[in-house]
Amino acid sequence: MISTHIIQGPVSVMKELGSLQQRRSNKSLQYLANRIMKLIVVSRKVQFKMMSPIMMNSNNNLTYNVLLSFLTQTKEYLHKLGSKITATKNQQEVEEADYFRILLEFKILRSNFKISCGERVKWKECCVNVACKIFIYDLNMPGGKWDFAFSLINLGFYLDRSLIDEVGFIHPSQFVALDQHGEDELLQSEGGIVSSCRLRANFPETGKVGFWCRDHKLGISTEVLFPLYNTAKHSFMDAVRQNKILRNVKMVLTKDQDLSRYMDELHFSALILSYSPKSEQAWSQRRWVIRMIAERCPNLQEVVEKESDLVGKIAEKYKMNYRAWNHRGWLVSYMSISQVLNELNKSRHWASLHVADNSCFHYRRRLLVKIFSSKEGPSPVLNCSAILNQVWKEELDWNEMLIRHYMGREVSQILFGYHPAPQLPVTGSLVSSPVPLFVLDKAYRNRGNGVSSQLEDNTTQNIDLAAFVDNEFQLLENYPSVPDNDFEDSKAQAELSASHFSWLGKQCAKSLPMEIQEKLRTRDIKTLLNKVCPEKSFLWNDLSFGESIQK
Amino acid sequence: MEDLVRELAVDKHARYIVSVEKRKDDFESVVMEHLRMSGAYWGLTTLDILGKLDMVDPDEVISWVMSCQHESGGFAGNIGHDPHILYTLSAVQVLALFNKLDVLDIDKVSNYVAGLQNEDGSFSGDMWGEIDTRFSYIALNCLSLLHRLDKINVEKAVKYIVSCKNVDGGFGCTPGAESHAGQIFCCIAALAITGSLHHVDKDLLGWWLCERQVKSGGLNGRPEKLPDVCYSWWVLSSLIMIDRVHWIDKKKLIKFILDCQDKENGGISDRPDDAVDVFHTYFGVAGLSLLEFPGLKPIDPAYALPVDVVNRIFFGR
Repeated sequence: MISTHIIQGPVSVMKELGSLQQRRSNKSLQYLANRIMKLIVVSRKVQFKMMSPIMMNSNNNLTYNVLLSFLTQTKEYLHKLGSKITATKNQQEVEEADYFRILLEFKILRSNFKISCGERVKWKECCVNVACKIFIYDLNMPGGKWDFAFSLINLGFYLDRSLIDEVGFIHPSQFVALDQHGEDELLQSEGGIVSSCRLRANFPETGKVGFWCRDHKLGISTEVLFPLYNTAKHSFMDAVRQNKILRNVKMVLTKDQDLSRYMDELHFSALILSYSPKSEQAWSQRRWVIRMIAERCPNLQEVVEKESDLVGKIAEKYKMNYRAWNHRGWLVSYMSISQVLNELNKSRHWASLHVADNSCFHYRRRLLVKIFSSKEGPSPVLNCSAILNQVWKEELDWNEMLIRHYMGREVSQILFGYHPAPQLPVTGSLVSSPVPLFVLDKAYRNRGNGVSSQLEDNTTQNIDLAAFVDNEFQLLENYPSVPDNDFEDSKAQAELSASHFSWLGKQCAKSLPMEIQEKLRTRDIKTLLNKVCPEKSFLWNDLSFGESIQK
Repeated sequence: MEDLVRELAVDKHARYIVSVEKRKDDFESVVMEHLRMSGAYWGLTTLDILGKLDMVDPDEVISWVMSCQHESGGFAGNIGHDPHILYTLSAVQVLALFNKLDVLDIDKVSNYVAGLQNEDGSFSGDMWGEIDTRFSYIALNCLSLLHRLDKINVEKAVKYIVSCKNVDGGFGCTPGAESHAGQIFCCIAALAITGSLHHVDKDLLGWWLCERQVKSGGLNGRPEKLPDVCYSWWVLSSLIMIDRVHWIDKKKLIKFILDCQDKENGGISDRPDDAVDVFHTYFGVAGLSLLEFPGLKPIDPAYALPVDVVNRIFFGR
């Protein structure tokens, strides 16, 4: 059993200080307070060292409780002291490094503990809380303060991967808005589990906020950023020069076979992406990590799913993020067919709400390519060609619905003009020229692998297309006298119809169904286009697509 | 167009670039320090196009460039950083501007680049293996300037690039990736350098590219995105290489680029009234050069260096 007197040591000293206040002048009070502060620090350090060997051998829960009390007490002493020490210009030696070392030692001990999750959270919050308090103090920390700040951030990241899930750089004036509740509330009692902690660390001289933490989100003041970065960089370069550390995280990870380190790296990379979602380096780092994980662990399903969800979250905040969607597309090659089908369904709703997001539709195309070009034998899902057709038909119908719904948006052109699967085994070779969806559909059905008989009439599709083309012509012909719409809308619609037609005429005239070719032939498209978009006449005249149809 | 000459603040832009080159320790420079080599290329090429390259001291620049070379032969973005193919090309381009390619151990540099080619013809950016068609362009550009294309398998390199062609005629960063104007530029320029433009459906791609011009006259990089001055280079250069530049409205584009200038402090931004940076200053000026804006040196659309520099390399002094 550990005797409690070890913990209660400096209580008597604090009583001394209280009585001193009443008798001495301010200056000597400060001097004394500083001396006592140092004394406390040293004594705590000694106490802790005394405790360690005993703790190693005793019951986990007990040790945990002891350490928690130790920390809490230290916190209280500091708090009491802090209110008596005012900012001075004098050199004051504060052994914050010692405190930090103490905290680190706690952490090391902690990693040997098998304590419950809830207690772990309390524990870490306590540690960070104390560290922040040290920083808060109106104490001049010559030189060391930025090293300390950097260490603090490190501590935050390192303590628990769930402690911080988002990082942001905040202008000093915006911290006020963040603190909706006015005064920051520090951790309350140790009784019940505290699920979130609110912390703030201010600059000693000005009282301005340097670091801010709440609900697992870390905010760093932009004023802190520059000196923090410089400190970090110099520390890093120095350490590399002295060969203390490997210069590249990948080098470290390659030596380490521990899967959890890779997961940690993914978490860290997600933090970077939380404030820099277009960072190509961060995305390619993730791919490297996943490739390493794939070598060690063949079942990537969960990892892939989480990755896909991460991209989904980022895509919600930052539209048409090329790097993020490209990453998601890369994941497709690691997905099982059932996962692909799942992704297709999951993203459909989102896609219909974000029809302007070209990247999203491109991703869907990649999913479709995977489905249709997969030759997976053992998969029961894909052996049934009815399911293939079902997927294909659903996609077509949904696309058509979107086109009608969003007439006048560029996306309708995207959907109308481009087919989803260049590598479809339609003709047995790569289809390198663009073919509208409906044409591809027809060719697909005639593949001759016993599929076509199950599908609905070819003519249904062609009738729909004919109606579509007629509608487009009407838009062009009636422009600009279309009633009801305001001027801008109808112009945009007409312009799009124009581009649809030049597309049709120029690119795939020969592969269109006969009726459509007939229609195009009988209309004077060029004149229509010049009427709608006279400013682009240099384009219409040059395209001279009319001739290709009239052949 | 002669009346537009007054509209380009040549002196201000030149002075802006020189000031950026001098700055090393403030926040903006520090944030960009890992790609300073590319920053040097953007700034110095702009100065050359503006006819103001003599505003910098070549010896100082060259000695800094060489100090960024790694023992593997590749160049890093700055002193003490890791080498990457991106900065290797920028270093070679900067040396080419000053006609100092002879300070290089040509074989050492080209071996580094050639060593990054993979089995399928693609190129990695560095030893960690990330593949992107940008790197294919960089490798082909760099080795071509050094007259060492024989160190790689050019046929496979071309084949890989062609495999990244999409249905809409555009190119992505890897096979199956979405078409993007920046990636398209890299692929088209790479194919141009290797004499392989016959693989491109010029009408189809030209169509996709000319659709990038929006109402304000600026160009975007993908459907439904905002215009950005950097696309004035990537889209424009691609259109020139496939001979379809007459499909966009050049006057409107010139006006857009000129509107993106900061005429008081110098520099060009991504769109009107935004903050300027060296990156967009380069692309704006380079775009104007391609559009034959008076008073600017002509620039090669594939090598992205002034034409006289390219001629010097390929046709002697």
